[in-house]
Amino acid sequence: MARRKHDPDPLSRRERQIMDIVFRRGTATIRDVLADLPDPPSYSAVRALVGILEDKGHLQHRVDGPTYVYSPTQRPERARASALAHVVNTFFGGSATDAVAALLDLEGRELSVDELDELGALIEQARKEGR
Amino acid sequence: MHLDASALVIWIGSLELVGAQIFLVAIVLDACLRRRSAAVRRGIWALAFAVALVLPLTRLALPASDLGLSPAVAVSLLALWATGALLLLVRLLRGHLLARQRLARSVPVAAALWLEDLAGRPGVELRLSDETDTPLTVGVLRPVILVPRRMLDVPASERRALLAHELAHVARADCLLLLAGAVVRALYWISPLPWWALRSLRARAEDAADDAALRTGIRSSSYAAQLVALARKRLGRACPAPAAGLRDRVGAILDVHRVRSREPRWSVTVLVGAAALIATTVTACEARSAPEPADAAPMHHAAQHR
Repeated sequence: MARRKHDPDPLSRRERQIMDIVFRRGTATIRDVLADLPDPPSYSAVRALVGILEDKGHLQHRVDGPTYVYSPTQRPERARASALAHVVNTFFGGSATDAVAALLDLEGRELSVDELDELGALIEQARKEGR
Repeated sequence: MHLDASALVIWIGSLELVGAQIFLVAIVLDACLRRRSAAVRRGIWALAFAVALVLPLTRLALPASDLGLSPAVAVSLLALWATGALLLLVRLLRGHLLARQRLARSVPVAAALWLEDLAGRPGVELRLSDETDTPLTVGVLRPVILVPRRMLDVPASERRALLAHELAHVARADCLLLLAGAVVRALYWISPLPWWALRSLRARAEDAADDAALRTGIRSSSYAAQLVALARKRLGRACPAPAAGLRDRVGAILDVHRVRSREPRWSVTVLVGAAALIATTVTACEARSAPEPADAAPMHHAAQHR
């Protein structure tokens, strides 16, 4: 299904963090976003998320030499209105967890690649010990 | 006939206060019993939520109080409480409708190996879904285990562990318990304690189900690796990889000293009976210790006769 420009899809927590950074800076490169993100994922993960935001119509880019420089496509006031919609959607979007018992939690804090790698190392240690 | 808004505000306020105390007691008990099995700790939270659910009924017999709040203030406070409760109940209803829709779009599992492992568990249905990336249990009266299609061909040890995990949820009626927990949170939402308590209940229910999975004989490192692999797959799709508590769960799974007994297994009847007894006792003690106001009428009579 082709993505629509200015798609009113709610943004994920990471996507919202990236938009906040771009709004604050006015324009930003991937490295700028990586520098400002709390507990950042990898460069390629941020690039993928920025690409998704561009597909959704929230960001646009211009080429500056070898670098893409991103800027928001809408003014902050309009973004604030969609932020309220995001809060509402997040509140009701998490309703799926109330109705099921899932093997892996369906909502909550995201785990970074580094945290998952740490868990992987713990598990590997346990495997070597015969557990 | 009209409801006395001021008396109702006091009634709800005192209910919230007593509810908070019940959850505080549960927090302390859970901390004291942290070396016991997850099943025991889940039982503590289950009992706390059952007491909180029954408590409003027992408190209807308490004499109505009145602090003389102005009607405007009383109605505003009532509206605030009712709005929060209603939003949470709507959220709960929406969640159940989404779960039913997901069930409706699933198909029965036909794979012989899965059905063989499920044999001997009447009343449990196994269905395949393209809309979930993690196995989950849905349904209160007729539980269904939804299996992601991509997990159909997992190795036998993982298949048995996953089924054991979900069947543990079914055996303990965790979906019913979580439904009751969500209703209690909606009633007592003003305090942060029921929010904390519901997270704790979920976590202990998952730990107890993990213990059931480990009792199938799967190596703890293999089972933990399965959970982490699931979380990694979500991250790879640039979607949020929500796995709150996964670190704690992996630590618990790999802990060789952990007690993993399956007891207690209280039936719903026993749980509700115990909760009714505790709630009645708490209310009776409160009624005995409260000073008797002049011409006091029970809460439900105050609503009828004022």
